[in-house]
Amino acid sequence: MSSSHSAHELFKSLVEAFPIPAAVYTGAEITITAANKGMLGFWAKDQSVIGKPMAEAIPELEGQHFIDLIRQVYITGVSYQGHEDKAEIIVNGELQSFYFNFTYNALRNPEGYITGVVHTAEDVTELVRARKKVAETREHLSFALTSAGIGTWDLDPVHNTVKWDARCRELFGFCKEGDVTYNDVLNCIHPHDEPLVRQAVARAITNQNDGIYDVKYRTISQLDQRLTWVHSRGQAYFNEERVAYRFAGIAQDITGEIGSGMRERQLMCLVDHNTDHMSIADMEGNLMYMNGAARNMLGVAHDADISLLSARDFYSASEYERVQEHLIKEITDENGWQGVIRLMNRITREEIPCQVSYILIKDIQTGEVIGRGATARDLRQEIKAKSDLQRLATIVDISEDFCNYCDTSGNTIYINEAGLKLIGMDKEQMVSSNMFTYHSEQSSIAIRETIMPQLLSTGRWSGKLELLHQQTGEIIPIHKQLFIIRENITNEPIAFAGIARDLRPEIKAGKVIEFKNTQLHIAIRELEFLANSVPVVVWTSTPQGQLDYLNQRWYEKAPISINDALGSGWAETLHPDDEKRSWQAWRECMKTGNPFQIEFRLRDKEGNYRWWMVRAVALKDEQGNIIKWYGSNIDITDHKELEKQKDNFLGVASHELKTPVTSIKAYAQVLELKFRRAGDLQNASLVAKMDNQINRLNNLIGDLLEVTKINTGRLEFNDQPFDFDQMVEEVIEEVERTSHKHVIHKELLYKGEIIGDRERICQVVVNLLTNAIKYSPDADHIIITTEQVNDNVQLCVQDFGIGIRLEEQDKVFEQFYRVSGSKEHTFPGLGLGLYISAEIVKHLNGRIWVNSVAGKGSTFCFSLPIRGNDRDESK
Amino acid sequence: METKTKTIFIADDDEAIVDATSMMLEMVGYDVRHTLNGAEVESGLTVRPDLVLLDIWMSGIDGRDVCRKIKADPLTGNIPVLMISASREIRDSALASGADDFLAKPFDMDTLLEKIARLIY
Repeated sequence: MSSSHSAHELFKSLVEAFPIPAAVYTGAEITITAANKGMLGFWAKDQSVIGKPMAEAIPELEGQHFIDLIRQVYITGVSYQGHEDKAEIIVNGELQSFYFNFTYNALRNPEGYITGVVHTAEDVTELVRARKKVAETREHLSFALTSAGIGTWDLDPVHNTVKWDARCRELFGFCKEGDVTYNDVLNCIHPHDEPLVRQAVARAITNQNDGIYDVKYRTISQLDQRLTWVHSRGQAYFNEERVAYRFAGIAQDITGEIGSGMRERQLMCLVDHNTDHMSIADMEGNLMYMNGAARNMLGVAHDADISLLSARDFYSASEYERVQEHLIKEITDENGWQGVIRLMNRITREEIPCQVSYILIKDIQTGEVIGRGATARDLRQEIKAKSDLQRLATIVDISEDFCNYCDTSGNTIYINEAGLKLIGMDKEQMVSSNMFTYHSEQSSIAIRETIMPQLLSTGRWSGKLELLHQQTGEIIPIHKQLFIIRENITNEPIAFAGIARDLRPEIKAGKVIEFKNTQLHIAIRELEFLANSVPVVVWTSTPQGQLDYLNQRWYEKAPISINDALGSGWAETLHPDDEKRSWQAWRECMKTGNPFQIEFRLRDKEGNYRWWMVRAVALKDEQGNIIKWYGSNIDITDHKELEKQKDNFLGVASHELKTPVTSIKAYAQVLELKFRRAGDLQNASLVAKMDNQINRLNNLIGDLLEVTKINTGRLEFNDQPFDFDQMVEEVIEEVERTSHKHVIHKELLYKGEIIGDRERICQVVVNLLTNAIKYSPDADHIIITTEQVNDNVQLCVQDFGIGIRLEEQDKVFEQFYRVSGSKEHTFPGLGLGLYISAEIVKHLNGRIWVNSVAGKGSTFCFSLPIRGNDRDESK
Repeated sequence: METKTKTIFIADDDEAIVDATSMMLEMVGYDVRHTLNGAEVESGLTVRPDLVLLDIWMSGIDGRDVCRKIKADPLTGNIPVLMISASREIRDSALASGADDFLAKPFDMDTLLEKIARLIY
């Protein structure tokens, strides 16, 4: 016993010295045989528990599984290891939980019998509690993330693999289980956003932007193609070599947020661009919002700060009072307020009638009224449209045309007064009629079979129909336009509207016009026939000188067609030398309206120029305005040729006549000399008379020659300075030799030279003086004067002879004109002297005229420019 | 002292004019020579006339050309030339060709004699 006791004590000492908490239990009662301080500390008990059964010593373990486990080991000998097992132990009078790792090992005697159980334990309470706390925290985080719809992801940048939680898989619509690669992730992203994501990831893992990753993109579900907006944020972590070894973060579904933001923007866009006025104001009338239409209508600039404006700015004083004092109070929660208000444009001050709807705006939380919203529709167009419609209705009512309105079956709804009168129907009959009643049978068939189908497809028809007079049965031809009227919303046809014009007056007028047109055409044909029959070119011109008609005669000789000649085309054939004077004369006539007459040359088909005598007169209206020019061109080429031949003949004849006259005169003078030398004065006198007659004959021949030269433009001039009065003196001396009856009184006051053709001017003075003598047979003197008048020298010859009647005075300078005297006096001559004188003076740029009183005498004068240098060569 | 008779050379293609004028001049004492052919005027001048009475139109010969030749020749250039023509207008061109004076046909005997006398003496 003693050895056994000592062994027991030894064992107890061993347990107590054990470095870890330990205890030994024996017997079926699981009596605590030994326990060191560590174990007692676990139990929160003292040495008194030793020797007591466990259930008694640590009663709180009753019901826990430890005692049973020890008993099991005691019976079976199979060791038991506990891991982080929870034990409820009373510490400081309070049951507390502790966690232990422990072992129960069977204690055997040398014979192998089980004598007890050895218990060693390690308190892991703190470790377990810490782990539990971590787990709880993680659980809470997971719960929070799940609640917030946030998924987590973890990318291994080295291996390009990604760890996703379930939420992330859901967000990316990714159905594959297990680890995924970075490319798998990219495949889930919307193609448009993929570059953005790639770029953001690349920036993060290359440590740009401190490794921060924040991007919003769309994913497309691989399961159902659903589009999800994802906001992904993360952080890259780098090792000492600055290489990213981890890149993790969260992903959040923002589809709703994006959607609601978009909806808000869409709504605001809708409001902003609404064509109706929309505004919000507080109940005091301070504006908070106005859309674009409201700003336009009320004259508020789009960038104007509306907080500076109030509702008062947009009403007249009386309307503001009505709105603020009455209408606002009538706005109800349920229906708001609707009615017409006159708003005012603050710039133009125009009052604009508007259909306005007010609603009250309440605070969502408190229900308190915080303002009013208004929508307003500008009624001006509607009012105008209504007014126009009213006017239209009035016009239709009083229209003289037939206007009707039927339903789609043709039942009459309306016919205007003129229409009823046209078809002989009263209003009562109208109500029960349909359109087939008052159209002819033929027209009714056309309406049913052709017109109605066309109306339904194209909406309108127009053409000729016939109405049937309800009383007389007369068929009335009309031109009708039919339109289909459709319901505004469904666009279903609801009626036909028609307007018709009675064609009878037109048909009647048309017949008259047709008759008159026929007559006119006949008249025009006759006139054209006449115009083409006359042997001259006939033309008409606009008041501006543009030819608008030429008869067929034109093309007989002209090188260009009638069409090409119209307008001013004919002028292309005009001889270049005739252009200037022709256009001058034509323009002058267009200005004055005086008759036009000219001779010019036009090119013919052979390229030769032909002379034409052109005459035109203007047709004028009552105010004297020119309406049209009527002209004719007569081909005078042959006439001109004959004139030329005549002039040539006269020229040659005159010249040839002078040759025998010269010899006759010479013979006569020889004869006279011979008679005188022989003393036969009687015969000498006869021969002298013969010589005078030879002189007369010579003068006549001379005149004819001069006229020929004038007409052929061959009158030659040789200008040089000469003493004018000296020339006159010489002429007087010469003339006085031939006339012994008349005394020539001279008053020559012009002293000096002039420039001109001395011979020609001398010829004129001779002519005036010899005429003065010739036409004053009963007078005995003549007065000749010269003087300077401005830049001209003026010469006058006054006689006291037979004079010239006023009506003849203009003609004395014409070719072959002769003043006739009384029965007692006849005056020989060809009537060419004054004509030649006048032509010479004209050529010298001078002027010649006569003052005369019949029976009293005449004064012939001419004036010539002293310097003679302004000669108009065109004359 | 006997005065030498003056010789006048008439060149005109009209025989009647030459005849009548010759009579007229011979009656007052001139020695008259003549030609009816314009081409023979120059040869006629070998008689050294004191004056040439030269018609301008002579059957295709222009008297002004003849006058220019007479005046251009040193042997005949000092012989006075009195040109006659039915055309007054020719006066200036006649004088321009070198003629000493001009007389229009038909002419007065007095005027002719006056002009001749003025040119010869």
